[in-house]
Amino acid sequence: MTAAEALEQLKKDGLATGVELFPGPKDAALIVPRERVKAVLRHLRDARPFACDLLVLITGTHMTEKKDAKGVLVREAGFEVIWHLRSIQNRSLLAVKCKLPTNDPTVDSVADLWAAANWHERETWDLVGIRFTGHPDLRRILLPEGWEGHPLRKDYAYPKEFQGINLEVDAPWPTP
Amino acid sequence: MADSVSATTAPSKTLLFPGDPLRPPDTYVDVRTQELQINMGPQHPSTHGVLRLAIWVDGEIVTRADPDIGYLHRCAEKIGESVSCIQYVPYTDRYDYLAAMNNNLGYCLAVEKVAEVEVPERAQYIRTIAVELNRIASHLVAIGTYGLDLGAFTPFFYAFREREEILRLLEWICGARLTYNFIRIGGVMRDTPAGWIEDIRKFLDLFETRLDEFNDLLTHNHIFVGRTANVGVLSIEDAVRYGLTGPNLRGSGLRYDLRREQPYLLYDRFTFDIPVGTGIKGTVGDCWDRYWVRLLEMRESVRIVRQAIDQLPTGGEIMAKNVRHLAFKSKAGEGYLGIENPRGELGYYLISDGGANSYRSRIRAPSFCNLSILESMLPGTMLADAVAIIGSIDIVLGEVDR
Amino acid sequence: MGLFERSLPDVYLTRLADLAVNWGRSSSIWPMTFGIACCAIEMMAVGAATFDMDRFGAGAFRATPRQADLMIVAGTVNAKMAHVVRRLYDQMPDPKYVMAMGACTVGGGPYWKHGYNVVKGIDRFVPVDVHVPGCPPRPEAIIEGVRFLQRKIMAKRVLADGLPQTPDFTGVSVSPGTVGILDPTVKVTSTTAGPALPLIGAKA
Repeated sequence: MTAAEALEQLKKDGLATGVELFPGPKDAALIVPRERVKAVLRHLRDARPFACDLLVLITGTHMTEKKDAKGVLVREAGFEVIWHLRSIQNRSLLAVKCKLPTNDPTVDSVADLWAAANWHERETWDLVGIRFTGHPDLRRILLPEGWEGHPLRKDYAYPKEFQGINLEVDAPWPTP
Repeated sequence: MADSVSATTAPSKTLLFPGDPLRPPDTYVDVRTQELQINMGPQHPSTHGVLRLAIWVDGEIVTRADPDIGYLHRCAEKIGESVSCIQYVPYTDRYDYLAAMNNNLGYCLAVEKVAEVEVPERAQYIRTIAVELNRIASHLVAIGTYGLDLGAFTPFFYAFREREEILRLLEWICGARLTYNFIRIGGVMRDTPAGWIEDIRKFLDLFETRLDEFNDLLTHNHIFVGRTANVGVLSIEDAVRYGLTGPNLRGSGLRYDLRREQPYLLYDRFTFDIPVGTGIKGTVGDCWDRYWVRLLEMRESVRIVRQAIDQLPTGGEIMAKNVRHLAFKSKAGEGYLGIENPRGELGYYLISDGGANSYRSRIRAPSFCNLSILESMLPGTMLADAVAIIGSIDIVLGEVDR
Repeated sequence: MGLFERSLPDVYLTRLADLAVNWGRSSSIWPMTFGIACCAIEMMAVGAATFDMDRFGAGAFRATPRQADLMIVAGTVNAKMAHVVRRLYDQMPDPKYVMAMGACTVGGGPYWKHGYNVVKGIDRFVPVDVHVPGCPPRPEAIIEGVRFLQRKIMAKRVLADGLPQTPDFTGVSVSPGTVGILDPTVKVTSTTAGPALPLIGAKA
């Protein structure tokens, strides 16, 4: 089931208010507004035509503003979360996107819908800084506790040291 | 009141062990077990890498397990945004370092999808041969170290003896034993040297007889069966809910393989079976089933390599024509592609904005998703079973932490 | 050797005794299984059948640091792991040696530029005896590293006093191939008995 067919099916099921199609290039996706995201994802998991029972990936991206040569806005500033869902029976892969504003990167957690989401959302919080409301235990997973900052943001400055360990690229040679 | 009575009859020692002559004969010893938190730390011979499991045990039974990962976090996704696509291929080797060809392949296929690069046919065949040989090598390490975790030293040496043969073949074609950087964007690095194909044929004939040795050594060994059968039973619903893929999902009985569902490379031209766990020794979905699925998958990989060698076209290009420009600019677009790694579904989600570097390169690591099952599967098992379960999930920490 | 270390006069007999002690130490180095990343697989391969490291005496891999003398740090060390590595080093009893295996432990490896939490070289917090380059180093290179360490151990002074001992973490000052004890023309570079180990951090 492609994204366009999924949108048609959602319209028939009456859940398509505010949902748009992201046409690509390359992979198409459904863009869902932030308030409707959990309801749409729940429907995608439970409804027969979709049956998306395998959550493949949750990705968070920090988007910076980009204008092309003529000054036209190509990319808005903000955050973007994309859920990739796979349906084992229907042999399909569906992508659902949601755009978040820069000053308030929060979105609903789907850890109660798919248990796989638990760790993906922890990692997204750890590296990108997107907060998932309703997550049972949102804490850092890959970086040590006490790490400051979210490294995958575009304005991240590499730290010079962490708890006494020197992390700089160039350092004086250890002398006896 | 009771305390003052006992204070006159017994001395002021509070601990009277059974057999102490001063202990009154009818005293009950208050044996209260205490939940103890132990640390199966980052340095452990059985955790397949730097995994830390904070385990709460009550006696011998695990009551809670909390995996703590991140000890090998190597900033993969940040590096993906900082170097160009072509420069990033060697970094992909180092995540799942046991199946480095598969990592290379996943990334190159994802970039070729987004940048619309057409790969020539001979390169596709060589890629298939390399990837399936690497799958055999990876499953050999999984099986060998699984035996090692459970105390069987000999299968480890047998597995590594076979693996050295495969590594010799892969080193012959690309120069490296472990981190190959052989599958490049648009094709492969070099063409097959003279004699490589014949040596692969000889190896495959030898390998099938050696797999029967494994069945004698480990598979039907009653100690191994006793430690892995009916241990760590995983149902299909739980596996799908936690996002498990690969031999872990197939060991529970679901015949789902991305090489069949979503054929990438040339897998629709080969005939091969997809083994699933059927609960021969115990329950469907136990540790033995996952081990059995890996053993059978090695035989299927041998079949695929034989067919690929027979169908290999005699001449042809090994690299696409229009790849050089990717060092400077690419096509804008985004796409996800998942392939079947020996551990599950390895996926790359790339967002490109037209420059040389990807804007976002997200890696869907199968071991990361497979590891999350430990939180729900370990409570209730014994500590020795915890080692068996971790070994059967077959994680590689380079992939978990990226 | 505790009470007798560096206490005997530097004559031919004590040098022979040193040779015997060092021969025992270098021929039975017990590594600790401390594989972190990809280099761990090559370490397993060097312990396995084809490139057997047990031939050189270094085949008894001990899982606990309390029983090991050589810590082969195989794999990238990042900020979270560095404290663990240091703690394991402190738990090893003397005499102990450290081999930095692989490019990541020598100087950061491929992650030297954009790895925000990778420690670029483990000699920033543990003293290293041998650096083995490679990504990952071939099993033959690891065996050469162990042989290098064996020659370095043979060149140490244990019982004999007099000439200063090679310090623990700068490079060995004996040319490879010679056994420095009985060779009077050997040069040693440092005059300190043993360096003060920098605990963590490399700011001199």
